[in-house]
Amino acid sequence: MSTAIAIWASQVTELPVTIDTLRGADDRALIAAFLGGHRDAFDVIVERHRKQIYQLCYRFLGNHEDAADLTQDVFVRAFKGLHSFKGDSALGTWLYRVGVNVCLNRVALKTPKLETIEPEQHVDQRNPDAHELVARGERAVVVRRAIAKLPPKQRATLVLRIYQEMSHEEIATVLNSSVGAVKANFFHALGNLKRLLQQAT
Amino acid sequence: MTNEFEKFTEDDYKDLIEDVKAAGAVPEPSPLFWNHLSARVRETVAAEPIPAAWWMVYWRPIAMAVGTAGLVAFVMLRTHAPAVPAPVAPSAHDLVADVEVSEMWRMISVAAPAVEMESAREAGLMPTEYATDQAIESLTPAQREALVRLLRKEMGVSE
Repeated sequence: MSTAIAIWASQVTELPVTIDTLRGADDRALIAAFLGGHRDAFDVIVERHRKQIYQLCYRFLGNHEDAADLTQDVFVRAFKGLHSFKGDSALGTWLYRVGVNVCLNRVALKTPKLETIEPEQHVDQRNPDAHELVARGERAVVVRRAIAKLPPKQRATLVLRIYQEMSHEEIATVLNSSVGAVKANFFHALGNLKRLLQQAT
Repeated sequence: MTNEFEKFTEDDYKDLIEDVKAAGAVPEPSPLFWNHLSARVRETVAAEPIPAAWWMVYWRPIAMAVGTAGLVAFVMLRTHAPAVPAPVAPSAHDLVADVEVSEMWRMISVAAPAVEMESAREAGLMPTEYATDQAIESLTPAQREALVRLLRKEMGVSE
């Protein structure tokens, strides 16, 4: 018996469905189970997607505290809004859309405080490549600061394209815009980033 | 900005992408953080009711109407169809297989969960007090065995 049928049968017969059964289910079966009254199904959705959403939020906000808060906010909104999910895209893409909106709202309200990662703290100075690693770390800090200065839509496009490795079409779905607008935003983001990095060095 | 784009060579593009990728490392939070995050989400939504699916809002009344019509058709067919005596009593396994592939059974399976007791009562589909007992008494031993198998299967009880 497939996992989806097991969950459906449990809804019909009102027999309990185990967390292991839910963990074996695909996203669609989990959504059906959740909307059918299984709260545990939502726990499994959180468990499955929390890392990607946290990384997305971290790349927007640049610090752990804000990223953790916003990840929680994304899943709370998802809980309340999952009934309107029509399955036009993957659940992960829909969660990214919620995540990007939450991040853009936060960025519009307050400038995120970038976490200060001192490269020297993470490099063993006895390592012969230590200087190279420190230089790379310093460069990363400069690039992160430059990305944080990009207009929100450009930053969103850059994050989704380069870090989340999404296609232009997927990004258009997440940002609720056209593929042409996504390509233009990405191009502008790179141009602005280049200018900002030149100013910083 | 236009000038920037004009000076944007392929090497510039590659270097910039590499720079951005290198700056994108997300520090791995403590392993405890993930469970803590899940617990925080669970606590926050604990008091929230699970919202109904969007399609249920539109399709529930339609499904109820179709289900009621299906049940009426089923009862009418059962009432008016001439009883044909079976030449050989089928085995319990055959009966279960027959029921499972039956279009009528499939229709009832799909329609029944969407029918409210109140709607069934209004449609005059509620059984009389001893109808179930009488129906079971009228079954042959093989049919009773098949019924038991179906019920066990539905309840997930292994044989």
